Amino acid sequence: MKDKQPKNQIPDYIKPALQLFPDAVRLAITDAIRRTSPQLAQNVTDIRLKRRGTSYLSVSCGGGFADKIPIDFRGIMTDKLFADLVFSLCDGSVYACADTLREGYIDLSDGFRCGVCGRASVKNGAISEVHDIDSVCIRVPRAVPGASGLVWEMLRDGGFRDSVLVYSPPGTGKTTLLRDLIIKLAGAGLPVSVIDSRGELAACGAYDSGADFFRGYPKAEGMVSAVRSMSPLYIVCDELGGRADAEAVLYARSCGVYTIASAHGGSVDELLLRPELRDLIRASVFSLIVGIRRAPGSREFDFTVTRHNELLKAAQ
Amino acid sequence: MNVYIYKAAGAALLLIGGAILLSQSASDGTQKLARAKEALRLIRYTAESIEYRRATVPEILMGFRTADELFQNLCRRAAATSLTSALAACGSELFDSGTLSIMEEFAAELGRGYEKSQLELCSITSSRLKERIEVLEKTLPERRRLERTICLFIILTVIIILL
Repeated sequence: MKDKQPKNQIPDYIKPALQLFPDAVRLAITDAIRRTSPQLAQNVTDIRLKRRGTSYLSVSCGGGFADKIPIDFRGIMTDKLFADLVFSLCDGSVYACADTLREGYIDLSDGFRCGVCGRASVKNGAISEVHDIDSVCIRVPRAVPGASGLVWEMLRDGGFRDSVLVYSPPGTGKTTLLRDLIIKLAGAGLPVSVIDSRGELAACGAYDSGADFFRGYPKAEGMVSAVRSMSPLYIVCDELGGRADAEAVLYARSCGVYTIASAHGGSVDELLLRPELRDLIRASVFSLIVGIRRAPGSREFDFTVTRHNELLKAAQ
Repeated sequence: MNVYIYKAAGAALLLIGGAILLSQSASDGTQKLARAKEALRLIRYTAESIEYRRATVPEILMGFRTADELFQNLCRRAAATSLTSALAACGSELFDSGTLSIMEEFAAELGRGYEKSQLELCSITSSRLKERIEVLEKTLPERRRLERTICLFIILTVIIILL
């Protein structure tokens, strides 16, 4: 008997991600996409694969995962297949990914972020190795031309003399916005250095834009290297983390280099809870702090712009 | 008269066939010994590449250079697919069964662990290959002697046929 359920075409944006998987996994994901509603198929943000439990595709509807498409492996997801999947994501060389596995991800290049978790071996209080990986989460990058909209206009109108901190909760589109900004800044002929620690910013045409990519560099070291070696006007960096990153941003600013960075946070008040960001804000490093939101089902951003003088007040 | 012609032709064919078989077998043995040595060189190169460069398996296999064209093709094929599938496709042409089995076991584990376990894998495989090479080097002269004996028997058979 023929299956009468309508089947979707595989959307173009997800095809490169499918190439990452062994055949059996790829077929199951393809099948899940074909069988879901066309609207969900067009909005897949993450591929979440599990050794135990249900694997699924996350569907974003703007700042938070509103829906999911279960992947039916029909009993083929064995420990061996999952180990083969991780082996294949590591390009057949687990030892070469040791450093990034310790930090919870595999650098797939081409802009794919692959988060992993499993069982950690701890030596002298630090994670030495990660074994028995149980879950893999691959963020599917997609270009949203014009995503940087208002931010780009403000930078241009300000004569490219502003540092910008972009914030939002996870999954809202900070990386997408940064990629679009990289393309625009490099396209305008400005010297831009991109610190791409996890290989995520190099997707969707950004890598070919003419910007200088510091791939795999830890953020702080990458920023210092960029200032010293590439004479950039702008450094772009995703997800500012600890004290070292903040010091590197300060160092860059003291050398006359502007930074465009992102950070997780739902509001300026939340950003100010983090000491390193609070110090940067107090030092007036970022003249613009831009919050982004997306309406459910929309790919367009709503921007909330706060200028540094307002921030100073908030910080006091 | 005709019988002698047939006998002579048969004897000549037997001699030529035997000679071809012997020379092929001799060169095959030498080649397989040489390839076992190349395999050992590949394992050492792999260990160095992992330890000093953290190169990935495809990078290692693409970077290995050898004058043996078949071995080079095996490496290229392995870099594009995997060493396991490359050995399954053409390993038996290149290696004797003992060396092939060592290489297959190596391929099954290559890349699947962290640096320490991979270096250990290379070290164990090197030792096993060295032992295999010693065995091949020992058996090669014995095999040649055996082949020479067979050759003598063929010649004797030919003489008997002619008589």
